[in-house]
Amino acid sequence: MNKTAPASVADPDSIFLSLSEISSLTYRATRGAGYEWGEADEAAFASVWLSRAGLDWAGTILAMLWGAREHPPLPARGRWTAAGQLCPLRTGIALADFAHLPEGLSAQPVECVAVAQPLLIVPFVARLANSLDRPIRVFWTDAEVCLEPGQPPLIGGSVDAGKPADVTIACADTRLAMPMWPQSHRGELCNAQYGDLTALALRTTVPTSIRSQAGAGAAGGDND
Amino acid sequence: MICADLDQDTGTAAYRRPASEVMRLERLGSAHPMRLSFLRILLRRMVDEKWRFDRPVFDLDERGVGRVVYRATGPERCYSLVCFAHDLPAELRSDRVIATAWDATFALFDGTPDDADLDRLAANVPLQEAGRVSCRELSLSRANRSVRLFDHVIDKLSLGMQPDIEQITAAGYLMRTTAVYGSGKFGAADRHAIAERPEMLCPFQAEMLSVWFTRLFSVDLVEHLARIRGGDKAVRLSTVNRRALGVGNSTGLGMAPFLVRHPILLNNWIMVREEALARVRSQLSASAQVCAGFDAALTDAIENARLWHSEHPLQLEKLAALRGGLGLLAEHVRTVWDRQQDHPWNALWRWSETALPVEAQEALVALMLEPHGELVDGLAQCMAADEAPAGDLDGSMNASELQALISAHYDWALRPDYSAAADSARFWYVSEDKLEPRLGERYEEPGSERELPLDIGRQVAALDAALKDCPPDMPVARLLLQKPEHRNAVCRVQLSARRPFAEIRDNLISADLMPIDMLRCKLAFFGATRFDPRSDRWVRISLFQGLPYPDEIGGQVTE
Repeated sequence: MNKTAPASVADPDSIFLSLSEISSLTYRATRGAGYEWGEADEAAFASVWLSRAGLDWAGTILAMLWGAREHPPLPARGRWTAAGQLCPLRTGIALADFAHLPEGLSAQPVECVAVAQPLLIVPFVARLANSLDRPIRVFWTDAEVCLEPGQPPLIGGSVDAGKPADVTIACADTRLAMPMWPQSHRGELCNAQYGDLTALALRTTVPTSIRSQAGAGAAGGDND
Repeated sequence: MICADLDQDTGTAAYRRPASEVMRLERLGSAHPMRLSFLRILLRRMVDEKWRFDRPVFDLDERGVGRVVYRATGPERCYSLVCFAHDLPAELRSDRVIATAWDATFALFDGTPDDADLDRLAANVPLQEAGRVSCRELSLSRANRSVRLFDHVIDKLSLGMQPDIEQITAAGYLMRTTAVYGSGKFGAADRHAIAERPEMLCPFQAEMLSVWFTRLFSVDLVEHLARIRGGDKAVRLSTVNRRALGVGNSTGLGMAPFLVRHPILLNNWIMVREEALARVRSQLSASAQVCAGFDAALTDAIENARLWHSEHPLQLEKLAALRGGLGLLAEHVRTVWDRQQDHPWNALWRWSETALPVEAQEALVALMLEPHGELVDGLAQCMAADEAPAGDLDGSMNASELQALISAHYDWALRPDYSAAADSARFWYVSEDKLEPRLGERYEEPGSERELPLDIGRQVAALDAALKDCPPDMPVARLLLQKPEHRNAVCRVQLSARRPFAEIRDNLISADLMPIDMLRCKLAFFGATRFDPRSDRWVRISLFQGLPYPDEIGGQVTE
């Protein structure tokens, strides 16, 4: 987490981060936006997964973190709703947590009603595909994402963050030929996104006091 | 052997130490380097695979400023340490992470860098955190001179004399690294990208290689400067003096959170060491050759303890315990220990449990492993970790099952009274200006609302309290939907059920926490010696001291 944006050689407005930088930045930014640390860990997982899949991790996570605080889902058999729009992070986490429960995907397809930033639940459904060891399909608006255990997503239509959508998640029977994970593992974002994530991340830090700085180093000097 | 089986009964279970003993911070803070430490693993591999070493670039001016490249070539790939030597004014020399200039800066390059790579690195590596490296780099680091010894060695060598061996052993190194970043930091390659290479499978191998070459660089640099000053009169360091030099490291709280944030990795490191100890203890007999190896290791350890210098009261106490304990051990081994009895190593270990202080018991672990390479070295491959399972929470586990796990594995977490000031006196945080981990006093300093989640004991105690209010058959998934603040604790408890060594079993926010104990545990796994605290949260150590240089294991370092 650098406070100054890392420079990019190719495009002055484009920044490439390593996956561990993406993870660390998302973790702190999510906590800085007021989520619990355990949820921040899950957001970091989602950012890294989206980045590896070549999807818009920064735009998606920022839309959630800067947006209104949406609702956790109320899981019920077949249909998950809430009093308003569903928080994609909490919905994604719950989809994985409820995997083997009667309300979860192992029992029947699940429709999540009015999910904000629906792309953000895809990494959690991918985890679900792993834990159930089954292919899963995710649909919303004109998007369709096929997920095989351990594989990158096969995407049809447009998965851009956009508007809230009703998302259907269902186990599939047929296995498909899937793409390979890319060799290069770099995540791209623009300067403004980096600035926004960093600003959120800095909300987890504490201003230095004379006492804390004094205690952090050696008692003597280093010219010995 | 399959690493996953290590947590099962492999015939050594009867000889295993319980996690409740091993994972106490006092004992972790008495850890000693051993043959399964990461730098030893690196050196063994390079010897076994006959790696070759050369120095394709050596371009230093009369002030010692310029660049040097060292290259290690293995069976499939090569790695190059690119070194930039600077002329640093004394007033800028600081080992803290807040420093902005150093005597030398380094990057470990994946392969052989061309001129464009070197120019790119020259524009970034000297800036360290303010620069940017790429996925071609595996580590980024810097080092400062140990000024007094550095100048003394140049003085003497330039006059055609060897430096004073007492000064060499007192300092132990010519340069000390003040940070070695790997695993994707500042744009470097992710761990993920290299983890499947056999030579990078074990933890921190890239970082250890970087530090090993840094040691060589420090020697080459003083010999270069002595030649500049003394001309034909100058001599090179003798083999004995060179061997006595390691490379130093100066470090603070930055490395402490790692052990808490990587519970699977911590579990695997400790499990491997404990399995290795159990294997040795389970041996029915001790051959003469193995006993001779043990005796030699004990002699070395006594000498190392004699030379181990510190002025910090905490460490002086530990050193006294170590020296006294090793004395007792040597006497017992010489006069009492029956090497012909069945299970002689177990007998020795059993004796140590009541006769030796913790500090010397942990030294004995390293000594018992030392002559048993064939028995334990293969375990090194189990020290890496796929950390993905940390996210695989079992939401269908019910409240009573989770509570049973807490009772079984987290009694240590439920003991403190976290509402009492002494048991919640500290908080871990990241500083705003330098982004470095620090430890604050909760009731005396502002900022505890931004605390890092390293208070595992307190989190688990809070989860335990929340579970008491739940119906016993309530699934964890539903609890977390209502109370997401317990997610971290649920993950830890579930993960620990099959990983007994995943948690430091002490209160990490207690008033009497000794943060340097966490540092020593991690540094011992690196292979660090001469642990020398400069405060309760800042320490200097030495790496590779007494171990070979590239030209000693791979033929001459060619130009």
